[in-house]
Amino acid sequence: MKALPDWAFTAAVAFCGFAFFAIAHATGNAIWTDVASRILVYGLAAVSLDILVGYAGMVSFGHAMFLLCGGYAVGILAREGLVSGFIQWPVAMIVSGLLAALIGPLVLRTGGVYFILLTLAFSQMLFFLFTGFSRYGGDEGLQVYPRSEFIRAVDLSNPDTLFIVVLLVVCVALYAMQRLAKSPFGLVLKGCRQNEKRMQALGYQTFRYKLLAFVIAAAVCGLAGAMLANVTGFVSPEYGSWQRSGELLVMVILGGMGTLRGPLIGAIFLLMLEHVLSEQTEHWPLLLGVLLVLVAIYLPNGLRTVSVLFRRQSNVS
Amino acid sequence: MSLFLEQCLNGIQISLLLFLMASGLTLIFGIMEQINLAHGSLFMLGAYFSVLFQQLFGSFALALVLALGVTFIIGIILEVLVFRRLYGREHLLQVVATFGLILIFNELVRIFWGVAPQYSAIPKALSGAISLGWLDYPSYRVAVIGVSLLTAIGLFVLIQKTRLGMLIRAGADDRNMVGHLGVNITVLYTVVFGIGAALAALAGAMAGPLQSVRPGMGEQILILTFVVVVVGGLGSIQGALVGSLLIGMADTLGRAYLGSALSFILPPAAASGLTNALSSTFVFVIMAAMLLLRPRGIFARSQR
Amino acid sequence: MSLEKPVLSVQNVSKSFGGVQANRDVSLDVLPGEVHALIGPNGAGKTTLISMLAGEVTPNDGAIYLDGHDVTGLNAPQRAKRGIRRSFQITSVFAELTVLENATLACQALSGRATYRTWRPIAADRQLRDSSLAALDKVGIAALADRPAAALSHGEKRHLELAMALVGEPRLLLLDEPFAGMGADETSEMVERLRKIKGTTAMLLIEHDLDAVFSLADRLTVLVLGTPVATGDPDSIRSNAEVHAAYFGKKPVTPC
Ligand SMILES: Nc1ncnc2c1ncn2[C@@H]1O[C@H](COP(=O)(O)OP(=O)(O)OP(=O)(O)O)[C@@H](O)[C@H]1O
Ligand SMILES: [Mg+2]
Repeated sequence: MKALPDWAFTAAVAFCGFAFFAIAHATGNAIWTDVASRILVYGLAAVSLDILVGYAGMVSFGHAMFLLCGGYAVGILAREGLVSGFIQWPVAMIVSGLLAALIGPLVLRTGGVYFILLTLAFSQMLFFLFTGFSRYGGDEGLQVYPRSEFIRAVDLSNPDTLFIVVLLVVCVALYAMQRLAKSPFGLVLKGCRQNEKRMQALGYQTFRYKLLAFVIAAAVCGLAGAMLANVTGFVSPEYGSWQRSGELLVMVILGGMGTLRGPLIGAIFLLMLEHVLSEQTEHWPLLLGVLLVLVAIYLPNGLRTVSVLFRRQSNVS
Repeated sequence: MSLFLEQCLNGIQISLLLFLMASGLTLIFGIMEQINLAHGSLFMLGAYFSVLFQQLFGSFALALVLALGVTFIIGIILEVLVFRRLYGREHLLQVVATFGLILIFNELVRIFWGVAPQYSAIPKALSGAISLGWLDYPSYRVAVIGVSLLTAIGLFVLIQKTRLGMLIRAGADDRNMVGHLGVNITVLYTVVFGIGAALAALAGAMAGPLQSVRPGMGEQILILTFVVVVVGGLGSIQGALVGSLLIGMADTLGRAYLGSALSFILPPAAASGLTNALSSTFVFVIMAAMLLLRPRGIFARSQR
Repeated sequence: MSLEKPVLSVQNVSKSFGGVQANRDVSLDVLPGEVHALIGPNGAGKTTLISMLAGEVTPNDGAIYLDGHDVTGLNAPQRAKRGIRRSFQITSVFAELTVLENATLACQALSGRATYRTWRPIAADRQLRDSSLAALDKVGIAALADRPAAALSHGEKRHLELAMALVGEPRLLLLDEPFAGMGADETSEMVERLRKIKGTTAMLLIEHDLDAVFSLADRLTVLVLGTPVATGDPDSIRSNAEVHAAYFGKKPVTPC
């Protein structure tokens, strides 16, 4: 089986996105685009987490803190009167990256379990910090008004326009991350995950690569946060809650880590599942919890395990 | 002055509750290398069962003991059904599985008790205050401090003086060694897990009357417990004790005095704005500072 | 011979783990192009010594010089960049990567900046590919380039490890039991491989297989309980009474 080129997956996502858009409109379900935008944004956040978890072996349990960071960057700038998306969105990425660069040296120093606990702790710190900022709504959150402004023709308060913009940005970001995965840097990250000591014996200062990966993943997640703020029209400390970090990890696990496309599928799966389950019963977290326990024990490679079974069969020929 | 003393006593009381949580978490990590996010859920279960048994039998003490026992058994069931299958697996999977457990327990509690906070009464005998010379301090809190201290001492005796404790220490130092001693590791792990669960339940049952008993109450203390364990050094009981005192006191005194401290150096408007944000993040600042000094915690286990 | 400046000079190095004294007052040197073998019973502290030389373990005491420069304070990657390369007693390749990718990681480690590139695909770098294939070819496993490393036989993995250690003409090669777990055929193949390299780079070789050691080494150091008890050429070691008592007195322990 020859590997598809990098752009094939991106193109497929774009195609499916537009097809979905067309179908939603044709069937009079334009409201779906809102859900779809949300899924895309979370998908991007999960993909950025996969760079850490699946490639570099850094299990972050606080990745949602960068959603919060990116979201508030947009919300606060909008509140202070700076509404251009050309400024807001890059600022969201830069601030998230800087935050990662700041706490990275602390959380990476010992690695392993400490990394998990410390990313969680710092995300909680940010959570509480914003809960206490009464100027920006405290724990009530902050209305994002107006939405980010680009050129006049692009009005993000229109869900359809927003969906198209989100789709395009996510596709570009996906493509960039696929390039990263196949780049020299990506290979170094894979090496770090599999055997960090060996990497050091080869001459790699692994700390620097992991820090850079942490910063890149944070910036991409910050971008997702900026888009999420526009999708929901609202930011609150809940953006960075530990539950949300957990959900991002779950998306990565469900889709299969270290694949980039997996987490996107994981995001679709998880959010659709939540959507469907929550219509059946208000106690859907119970079912989700059971699913997670079962996946962790029996399907450590996520849904990919299922797809591999199929591929094995076709490979035999 | 007496206000300050009262805050200190509150700090000690919170520290000791944190220690009950942290000691279990750190033992479970030290011996089984298992991350347990659901440790806070056991805390919550302790509180809820205590409320339930209070309603059934009307006795706080009896409810406390029963809640402990039931949670101990739940801990053992969890170990057998879930955790046992995760030992030695990637931490990522342990995180996902125990995240799932949190969802399960929070939801079960919602199903059985609803979302409204439950009321855990302070037992009559302890509803007054005790005079400590300078100040009158609630007897219930004194009792909590006493029980926690006794438990902590009991735990240290258990670990230092008994055969089980010897195995636990050996396990925390070198996991392979215990196997060579010809001990049934499976049972040891299950028992350690049960003890951790019971300690969490004790903390939860005692904290019940001091805060609202509601779904999700475990996660708040879980995060603080993580901070404690990271500061103290993963796997170390002494670390859990020192970390608990540090974080418990810092949290209490930070919340109480950060505001007035800030108003000395900042204009009032800026100070009050910052106080809210900083008093709830103070412990994390302490944690970050400690990590700069001792990246693996105060009582770091030797690197292998 | 003694006029040559040593590549590696170890001076009074000690290391203890808690109560266990793994190395005590070890001094030795490795001359340019020399194969210096380190032998000793299990637990003698050989691996610990190599780990200290590679910068993975910090000595409690003593100093390590590479080409006359004190490298004691450098960490593992820094020493690797200066030309100290090692192989591991327990086979240590990147199992989920292909053989070629393993070699590529070794090759690009030397290219510094380029490893921070995040856009250009690694596959587009012909030069890197060629040098990686050349590295594999050196140990005769270029044909396996596209296999996942996990699918290699034990002997092939050992060769891959050697290939990765050899990239970029290291100043000093630290080989921790390169023959461990190999069959007789594989061992003799590996011995041949090392014989070919011999002379081009200095080597410190740990090995339990004494036939292989004596056929390769220019000098040997015998380590017992963390301390060198004898150093010399193969003949003098063979006839050294102290060594016999401490080491040959009992049958050499089978390598694990
Ligand atoms: N990280 C460590 N922590 C504690 N003790 C260690 C550590 N590494 C090695 N030791 C101890 O140091 C001593 C020397 O070990 P080392 O691995 O260096 O021996 P060796 O000569 O390589 O043995 P072998 O021939 O079995 O490979 C042993 O007693 C070992 O248990
Ligand atoms: Mg060894």
